[in-house]
Amino acid sequence: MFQFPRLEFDPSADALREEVRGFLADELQSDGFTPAADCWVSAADPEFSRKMGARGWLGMTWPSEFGGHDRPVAHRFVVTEEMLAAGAPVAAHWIADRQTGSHILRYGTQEQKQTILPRIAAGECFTAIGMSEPQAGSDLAAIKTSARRTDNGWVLSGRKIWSTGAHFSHYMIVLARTSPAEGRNRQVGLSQFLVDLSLPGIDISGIRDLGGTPHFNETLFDNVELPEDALLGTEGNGWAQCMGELALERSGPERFLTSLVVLEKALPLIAAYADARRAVEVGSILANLRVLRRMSLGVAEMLERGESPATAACVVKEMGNRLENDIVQRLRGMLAGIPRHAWPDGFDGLLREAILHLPSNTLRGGTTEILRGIIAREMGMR
Amino acid sequence: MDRDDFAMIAEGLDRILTDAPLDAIDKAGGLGTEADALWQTLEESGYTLLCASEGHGGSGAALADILPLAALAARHAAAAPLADTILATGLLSAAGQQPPALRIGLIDPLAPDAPIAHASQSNAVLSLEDGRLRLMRIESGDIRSVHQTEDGAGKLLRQPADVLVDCAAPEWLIPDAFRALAALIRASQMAGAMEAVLGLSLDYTRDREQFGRPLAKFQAIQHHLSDIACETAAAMAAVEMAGDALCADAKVGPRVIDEIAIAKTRCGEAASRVAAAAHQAHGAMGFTREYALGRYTRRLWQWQDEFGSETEWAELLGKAVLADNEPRLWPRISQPI
Repeated sequence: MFQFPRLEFDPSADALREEVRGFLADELQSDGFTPAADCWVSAADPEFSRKMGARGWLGMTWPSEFGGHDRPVAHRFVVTEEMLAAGAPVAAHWIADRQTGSHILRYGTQEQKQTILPRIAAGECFTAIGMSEPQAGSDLAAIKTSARRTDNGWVLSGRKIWSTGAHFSHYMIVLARTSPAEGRNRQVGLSQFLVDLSLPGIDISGIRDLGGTPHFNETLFDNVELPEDALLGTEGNGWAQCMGELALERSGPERFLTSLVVLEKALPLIAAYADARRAVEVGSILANLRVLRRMSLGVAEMLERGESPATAACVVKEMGNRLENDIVQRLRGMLAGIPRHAWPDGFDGLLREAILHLPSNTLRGGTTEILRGIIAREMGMR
Repeated sequence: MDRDDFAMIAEGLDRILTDAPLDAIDKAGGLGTEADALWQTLEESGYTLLCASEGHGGSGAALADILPLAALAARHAAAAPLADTILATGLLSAAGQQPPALRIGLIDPLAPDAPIAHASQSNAVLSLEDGRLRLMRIESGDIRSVHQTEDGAGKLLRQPADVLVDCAAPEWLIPDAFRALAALIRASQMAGAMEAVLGLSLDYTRDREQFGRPLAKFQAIQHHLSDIACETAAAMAAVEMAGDALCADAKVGPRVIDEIAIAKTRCGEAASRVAAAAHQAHGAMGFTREYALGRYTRRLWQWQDEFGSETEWAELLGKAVLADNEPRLWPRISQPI
């Protein structure tokens, strides 16, 4: 069965937590940001990212020779969960800090690491994910984007879609076919490329989400000439690399903490109308979140030990995404019977934003159906 | 006792339960000569006194240590008041009393009129009232079985006359703490039963064919199995977390009660989902008295209600949050584990 080892916080992590909370309180006080639901996707503020970089809160676990800070996974967990709980504008650097950087650290060449990682850690370099395509969503191995070798590099052609933040990002890791599938085995012949988005032949166009925000994009690669060293990792190893990247993507606290800020904002109001029904809802949400956090910490600990907890990460994301939706629905239930004029300022906007973001929880980073399939397969069901 | 001792103790219990005719004992309601023989083995091997002090002939184990054993017995669906007796003898010993060799059921101090688990399989019950622990011998005329419940639940018809022990409870053992300890045992048992349900569901859906292929090949079935696995993993994590808190404070302070409230709430919620998904995956077969699934799901449904249902514990948790001066969840969610 899925075991989740215990990750312990030592006093240095507790001190860091106080420091982060102090920073966030100061930023809120000085009107530095307005708390947002789904902040790691919806609230990008490069200036905020630079401030975090200056404090050493990006690339925390990477070695110092690449601009990192050699800190334990527990420290990074503290910073990320405090940012999410506050609804801070962390979207600009989120993907670079969470997965692209760690991925480059694992598979990149010395030069790739030296060029990019220090800039990510400084909060000055942002990245996007180039996996899905218009005709290849859950069926990722069906991608058509291809990279062809030339005398001095590669030529990349194709389309990527749903790339969050591509419009302000500097790089995208693109999954492309570099040799044909072998019969029915389509997972061979795929490779990853670290693509500089300022190269000629790249056209990024925003796609508005349900709520009207252009947070994700479609990117066209029209015979883009890539240098030899744009290849990330090993040619033909793209599928396995992608799956490793997804383990980084699937288990973090952003999979269950994005709606909390909305509930927190309403809690004083709910407390003014406290009754047994509302208490049960609050208690159940508390129980679910605390247990899920423990499991997410367990996955972080496994990553720290160098294990690949791909399935455990799916468990956290699957349950976390369901819980996110549940929190918002339960919140609506708790608000029933409370007159609107009692709602705090700006709360209706925050709630609306949270509701409109709900569908994406169970889609991005792997749909519920894909995750359940992975979990079942891990138990030997296919 | 260290980790190795406990691994040995768990292996020993696993062997005893694997060898016992548990299905037959269960079908006999946990009564009869086979049940008696199993209990005698457990008693002679020292399992009933694990948490009693060495001076009282026990092993001096902490209560947190026996949670995995409660889960193990639940994985076997063993119809015997083992975990409750270990808790009862541990508490009596902590109160300075030599625990007698009896099968002991627990009266919920906050719901004394609720059915008592194992009542018909026990020969004594333990209560906590007005700061006193009372161990009372029960005769068959003292209880009325609650029809069709698992683990021989029953109601007391009259106050048992034969009081074996009547002593001051340890100061820390307030009714909330007593109930929380019993609730944590139920949470642990639920997690164990869920593991067994997962195993049964995997086996059944791999073997059973419909439409020309195993059920396990159908995506809809795979999703049920994934749900069972996720909920089981969450239940196990919840029990571990509460166990860690109890390890750090064996006298069951408010923080421990909070963590146990979280565990009982989460396991209770998981129990409903696991039982529903497993029965759906099994079809009519799982709905028979003959097939093993019911031995587990009947217990899940019973245990989720004993010593406070998930609704009661969640209300307690939520009330505390909403009573705060500045009500917020995050400080509680992010408390050190």
